[in-house]
Amino acid sequence: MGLTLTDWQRLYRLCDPKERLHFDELELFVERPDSVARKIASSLRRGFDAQGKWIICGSVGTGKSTELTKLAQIAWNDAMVIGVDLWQASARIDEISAAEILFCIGMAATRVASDRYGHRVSPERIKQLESAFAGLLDQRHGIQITDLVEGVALLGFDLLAPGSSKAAKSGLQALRATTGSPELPLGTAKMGGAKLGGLTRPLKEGDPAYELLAYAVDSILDEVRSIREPLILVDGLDKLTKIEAIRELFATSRMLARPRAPLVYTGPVTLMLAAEWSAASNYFDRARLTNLVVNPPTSPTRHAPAELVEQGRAAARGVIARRCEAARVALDAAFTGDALEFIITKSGGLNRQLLNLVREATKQAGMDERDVIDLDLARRACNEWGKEFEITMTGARREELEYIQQHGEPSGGAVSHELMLWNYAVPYANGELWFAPNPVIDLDRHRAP
Amino acid sequence: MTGGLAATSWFRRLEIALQFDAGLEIMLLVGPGPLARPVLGQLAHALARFGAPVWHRLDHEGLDSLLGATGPGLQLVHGFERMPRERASDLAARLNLNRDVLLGVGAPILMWVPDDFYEELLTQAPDFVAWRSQVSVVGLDDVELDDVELAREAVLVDALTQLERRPDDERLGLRILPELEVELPSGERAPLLEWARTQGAACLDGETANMTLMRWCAWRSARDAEQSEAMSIPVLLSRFDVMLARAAISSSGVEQRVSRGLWQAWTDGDLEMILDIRLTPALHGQWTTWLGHNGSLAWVQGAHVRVAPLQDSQIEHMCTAALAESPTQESVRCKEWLETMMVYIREDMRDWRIARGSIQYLTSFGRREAADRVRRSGHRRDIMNAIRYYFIARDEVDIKEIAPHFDNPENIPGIAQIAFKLARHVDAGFDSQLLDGCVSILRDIEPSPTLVDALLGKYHIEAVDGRDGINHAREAVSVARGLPPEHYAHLVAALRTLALGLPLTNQCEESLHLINEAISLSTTHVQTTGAITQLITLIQTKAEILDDADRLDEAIAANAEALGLVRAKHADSSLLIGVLKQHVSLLVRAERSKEALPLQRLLHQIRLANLPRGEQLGNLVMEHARFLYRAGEHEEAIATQTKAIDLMRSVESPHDLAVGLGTLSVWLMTSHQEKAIALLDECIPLLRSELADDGPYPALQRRLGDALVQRATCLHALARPGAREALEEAIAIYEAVQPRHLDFASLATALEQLGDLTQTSDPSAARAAYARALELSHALPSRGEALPRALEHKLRALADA
Repeated sequence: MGLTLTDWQRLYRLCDPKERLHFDELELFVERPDSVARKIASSLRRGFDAQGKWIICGSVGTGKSTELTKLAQIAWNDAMVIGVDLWQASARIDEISAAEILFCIGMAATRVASDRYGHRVSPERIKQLESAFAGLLDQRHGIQITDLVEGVALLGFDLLAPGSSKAAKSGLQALRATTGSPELPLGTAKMGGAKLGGLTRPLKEGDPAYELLAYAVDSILDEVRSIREPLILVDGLDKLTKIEAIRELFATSRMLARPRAPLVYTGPVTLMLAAEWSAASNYFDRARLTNLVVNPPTSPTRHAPAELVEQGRAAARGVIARRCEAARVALDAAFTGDALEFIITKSGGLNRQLLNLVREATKQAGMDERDVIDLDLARRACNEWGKEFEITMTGARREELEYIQQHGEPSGGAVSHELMLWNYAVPYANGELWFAPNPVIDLDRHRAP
Repeated sequence: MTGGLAATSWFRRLEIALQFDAGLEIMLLVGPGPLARPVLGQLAHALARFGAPVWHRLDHEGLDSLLGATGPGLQLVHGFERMPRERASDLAARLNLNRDVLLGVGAPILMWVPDDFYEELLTQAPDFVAWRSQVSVVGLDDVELDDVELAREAVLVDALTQLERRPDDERLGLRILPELEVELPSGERAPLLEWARTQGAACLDGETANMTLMRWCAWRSARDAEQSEAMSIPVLLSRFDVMLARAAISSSGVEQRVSRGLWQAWTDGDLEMILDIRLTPALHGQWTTWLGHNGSLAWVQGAHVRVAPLQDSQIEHMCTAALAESPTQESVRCKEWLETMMVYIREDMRDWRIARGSIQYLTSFGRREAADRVRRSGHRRDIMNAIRYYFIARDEVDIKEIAPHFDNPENIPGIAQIAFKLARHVDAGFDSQLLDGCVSILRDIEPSPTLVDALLGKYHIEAVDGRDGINHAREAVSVARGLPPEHYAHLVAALRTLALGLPLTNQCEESLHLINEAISLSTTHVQTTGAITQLITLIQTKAEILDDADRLDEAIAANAEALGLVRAKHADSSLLIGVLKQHVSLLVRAERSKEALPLQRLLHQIRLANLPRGEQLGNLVMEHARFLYRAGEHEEAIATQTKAIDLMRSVESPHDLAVGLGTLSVWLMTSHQEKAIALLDECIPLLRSELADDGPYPALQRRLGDALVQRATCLHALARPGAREALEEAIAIYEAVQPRHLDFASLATALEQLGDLTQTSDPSAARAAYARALELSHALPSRGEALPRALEHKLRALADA
């Protein structure tokens, strides 16, 4: 029997691109074949990388934050998971310095120890951290350290106990009910306090003040280690857009690798370019979070075995099947076989795009009062999303995409950077890395015959 | 009502999405700014079953209203189109940062994104955009909107953006209006808004009421202020003019319809509807007078002619009416050009020549717009347009000189000439793409002086960009050789450019050959015309070439010839100054300073007598003092520098004063340490204060560091305390310089000095200083092994001790 409007509605709601996966929703999460979270967790559990430092990098929507959430879930019972959300904590992420990040890590550790384990880190250590950081502040900004302490933001999963995603939202509503319309003035995070980013004076490694800060962070980590081994997860550096900032933090300076605890950062997609990738290897183990390989490479110079493609497509099918299951509809009742395969092909292996395409197809089915998504509907859905890329398509971007299609890698420069940031070009890996234009973009559309 | 919208696929997608999920759904609608309010309004009506609309004006309320919304109902968001780009970008970044708060809104958000802002939104708010359920491009044809309403929105959007853009001290911004008061004739004060109500400002219904009223106040206040100070026109009216102009030259459907709408409102006497102002007879009269004075009526006519040509009789009637409304003296000029304009109209040249009435406006706008267009596309068609705007913008150009129809192939040379003139006028330099277009047109026709100019222009552009454009200079010479003799000046210019541009290390002979040819040509010309300047410049150039080829004596001889000519022919002082400066410089480099000294004194006297406006006298005297010092005239140099410092003190130029003090202290620090310290005590606070005001930048940091080191040296020499502190401060300042600007040599020297100073009193500090200096010394290859070896030796000595 075909699907009704109500069925489509349920499936539509379950493919909401706004929702970050929470613990209670992880059953919807299909582990990618090369799960980074599991690898890191396994390495930690076996004691191989007790002080390991990782960067997980990948394009927008590949699920970097989801991997962090997954890692937090796996390690939750064995480690004290300390999550830092730099994106929330900073006003200008491109200007954030290693010292500011270290400070955030130290403050987050004290807060997690207190909130989750009821352990109050010794006031002397906190004082030491604050004064070490105060010594690094650029005095021109006139910032008080007490303002900054409040600005340190924890990652969402620290706030959410299992099953509490709804509770968090209702909490926010309760806040509104008591305070009226919440004021969100410029320069303050929702957790209050001043914002980080560009507040410290220029520093060099080996600067005694810098060393003092690293020492203060380590001494806090040493103290909380008595409760559990800390595992630090730092999200937000994937939002860096300036290449100089990326190089300074990940390649030139080794300060981010200093804290004596296992540490995982999310990194920007730019790190996937060959030169940046190898430069970062000085201090970090790197994990490329590429997308599911659902199509063979477009470039004749790159190769992917058929089984890898099939494995990726199977994972994508699994994502859709789980959503359908949660929506209480049968996968084969919702999609004809060719429609499902078409959507998977056009998703390019991008999780969010896959869900958006399914969502769009359900909309189209609802509009036409259809009881199944067939190939025609699937095509229309993909065309609609393809049009969104058309809005910002320019000759230079199209040329670069054609280059990527032909050579399997960007030519470098500002246009490549944009295309990667906006998912016009999608990275894949099979030992080596290759790129392909996002398959939802119809590159032949305006090409001269 | 919503037939247009309802027929679009994006509307149906949006509708079903809302049906599926009435919670937070982000729908982005991308389209021209003026469509924002009409489209959102129509959507609110068409989608009324999903809840009553709640409007959020980002330009008015920032994000507070949207983030504080708690549903239900459609949240209609716009305002990006009404703010300057920088503010809109900032707001988008904050939207991204606070996107989690939107989860509490719990209702669909329909947000208008101006089509020229979508890319910026993607950049500033990538995560917010990733949450959208739909992005749809909304076109003009998707909406049922009459031209007058569209024009009204366009004026609003444009005027509000401009109001926001004006500096705070110049404008009465919308946001502060509610707080303003006016002084009434009775002397009492009253809130501005209340006053406006009593003055009869129109209040529209609903959500626009306050906004309309405030805008009216802004307009009225700005207008009054400007009238009293005899300044320019009120904001809204000026924007009205700009919009008409833009509409007239734009091929965009929206702008053409705006133009039609404005015209329609004007002719129907409904302009107050567009401006939301109740135009009293007095206001209307003033406005019409203003239009008459400035020729803006011509733009109304011009815009109208472009979209719907009028009959001559209609235009004549309008012109007569405009003249009748302009009784002041300026109307004479106005009448002249209106009459001229009518002649052209009758000659069926109404398209672009009618626009000539807005010469003043286009002088700035037309040129910039044209250049922008060409930069964007670089097509020949755009070059043609650019030429047209340029031509219109130049009131001195005789129209009859220029081909009446640009499409006529016979007129291509004229077009190319104008293209070149335009390219040269853009930003007082050259516009590369315009030049490319010009060269491409000119190469298709017979060789011309303009092609030579254009090729040389291309060479200069590429030279500035660091590219090797020498082929353009060669081509210019080749073209110039084929020109008739009367164009000899072009050949001379091309020869000189090529001679200067050739890589001199290995093509010096060719370079000299070319410049000699140019000199020979110019000499012949001088004999017939007596014009000497060009010849002197060429001989100077020859001296430069010889100098670059390390043939210093020959260079001096050549320059001496130029100097002789300048003196013999009594050429103007700027030429004399140029040649003298070059001669002095050559002599100094040939270590003939004694010979240069009288020339330098002469040069100094001439420069003092011809001091260009704006040039600091103190700097000129200081330059002379430096020369004297280099020439070994130390006493005179010190006295001159002291005079320069006094001059700088008198004009309150702290930066120059600090530089002057620093220089003099260097000269005195070996013989008069006390005086040097006194000078540095004045110099250092000035530099510190500049650093505090302007923030750190490498040159300033280095200068302060150097001054502190000098002070330390003097204090040490006099065995006075404070040397160590000064050195430590200097080192901290050097170290704070950004790594890529770090002055390794100064830092290493200061550290070594600190080590020397503390080796007995504080060996561990000395060790640290030497160690850091040693580390830095490896980055100083020019010092060879000497410095590292010396430092290692000192470290060993310390260890032994």
